[in-house]
Amino acid sequence: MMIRKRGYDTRSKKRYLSNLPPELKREILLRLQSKCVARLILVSRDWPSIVRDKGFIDSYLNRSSSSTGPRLLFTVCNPEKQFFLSCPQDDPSSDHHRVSIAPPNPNPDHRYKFSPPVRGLICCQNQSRVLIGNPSTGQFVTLPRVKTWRKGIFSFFGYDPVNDVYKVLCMTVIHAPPDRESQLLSEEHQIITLGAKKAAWRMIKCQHPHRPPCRTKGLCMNGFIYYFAWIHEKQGCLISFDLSSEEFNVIKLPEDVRLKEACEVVNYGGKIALATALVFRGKLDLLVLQDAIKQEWLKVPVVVPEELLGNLFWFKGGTCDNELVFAPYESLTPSFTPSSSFFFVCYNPKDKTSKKVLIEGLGDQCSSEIEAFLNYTESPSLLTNRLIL
Amino acid sequence: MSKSEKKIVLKSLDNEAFEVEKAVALQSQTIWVMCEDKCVGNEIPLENVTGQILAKVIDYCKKHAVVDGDGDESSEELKNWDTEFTKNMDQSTLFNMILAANYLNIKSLLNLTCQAVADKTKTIDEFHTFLNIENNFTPEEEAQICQENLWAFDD
Repeated sequence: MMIRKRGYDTRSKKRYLSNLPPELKREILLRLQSKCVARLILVSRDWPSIVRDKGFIDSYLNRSSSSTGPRLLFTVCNPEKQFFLSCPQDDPSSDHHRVSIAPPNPNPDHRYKFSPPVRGLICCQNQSRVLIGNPSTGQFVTLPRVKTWRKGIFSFFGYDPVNDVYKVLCMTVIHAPPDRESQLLSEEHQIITLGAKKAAWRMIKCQHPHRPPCRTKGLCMNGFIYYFAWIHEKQGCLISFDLSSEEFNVIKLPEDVRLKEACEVVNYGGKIALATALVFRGKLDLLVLQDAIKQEWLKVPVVVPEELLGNLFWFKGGTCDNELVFAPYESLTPSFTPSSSFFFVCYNPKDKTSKKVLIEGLGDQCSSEIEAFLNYTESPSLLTNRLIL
Repeated sequence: MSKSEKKIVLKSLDNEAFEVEKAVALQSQTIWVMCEDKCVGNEIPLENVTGQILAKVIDYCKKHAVVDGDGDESSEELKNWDTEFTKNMDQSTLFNMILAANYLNIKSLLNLTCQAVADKTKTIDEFHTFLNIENNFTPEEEAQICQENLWAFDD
């Protein structure tokens, strides 16, 4: 019987990847583009186990955010096209990566809602239909339908580092006019664990009656999903959902805070902060969470750059360089986008300078809904049809 | 310091000798440790590196020693030099450079050569040919896995 040493060509005496020690193979794989790493599943039977390894994914995410820096991710939806576009946060004019959402939304009247990306993956929800996608590889998988007959569904996406699993939390509400919103509470709280042997929605108990406002966005940080919610009429709070124990907690706001409108949860220099959602009065008060257990907050007043005054802008959070980012949220009017470009504003509170950043290639229709997410990292994570990540 | 103390001789696997400035050679942590331990004389045998590869490693170290010492060249120029340095290396040279950089413990060279291999490997065919990974799927398995992962073919 002839035994051929795999990967070693005895005729030419060449060394190949298979002959490299495992730690050097890994060094090469960590430097491949994320899509190329994911492609390894098509190359050989032996590779999926390497690229599915948690340690490998962690190293890849760390390496790519420290060596090439975090990226901006844009979601663009119009009746013809739905796609993601990403670019480096420090130089948005270069290195654009674009993928379409597949399968396309069957009903363009109901557009996808997106949760902020978590470790390079994003959750897209349209009524009871939920997709998990990797905007860097272009791979999407469809989850089982959310268990409800209602149309008002909120979805939140997060990663539990304790058990190394991704989860989607959903809840439903009955539609209500804004003035009655806080009286109608969220119900049918349910959760799905990706990668579980049997991926199915499980109903969970919520001990704290609350209602997320329309368009609320959750933010996942360190194993918790944080989102703003009403607990009583005109009384807002921050909900923290523990992805490991699957319990809800209410974090009360300082007593002197009187809210007229809902708040947006943002990442402010690695801390959870609440921002008044729309910026058009020239001043923005940030509430930065100092201690979730003691419910301690720090108020940080931010002077809004002049070019934003009078416009409908959202505060999107802080970058790693402590710049504050403001972006139009959705339903862009022609006056905001005179051409096919989209802009946002980076403001440096230290030297009080702001710069307007134009992004080309985000669609040519004024009817596009564009959302911007900060601090996105491309991931080689694979999704399978059994939803094992 | 006398002239001879500033120089060091590196001897390759195939007994080729290279006299280099100590400052150039000490970019290798492995050589640095050997010199610190004083376990070797002025001649250092490198049993894992051939003369052909060692010559290239020394070229790299010379370039980087000058820049680190004098600050003559901008980082931009150095980056361009690095790109040119690996651009025309064939597969076997690159893999041998990776092994040499790892053995000699020169972090920046290891990073450069691993990145060069990664940059040359993008399509599925390149994985098979350049990395020489054997396709061990049966035709049926391959057809099925391709069908399930159409996303992987888009650019």
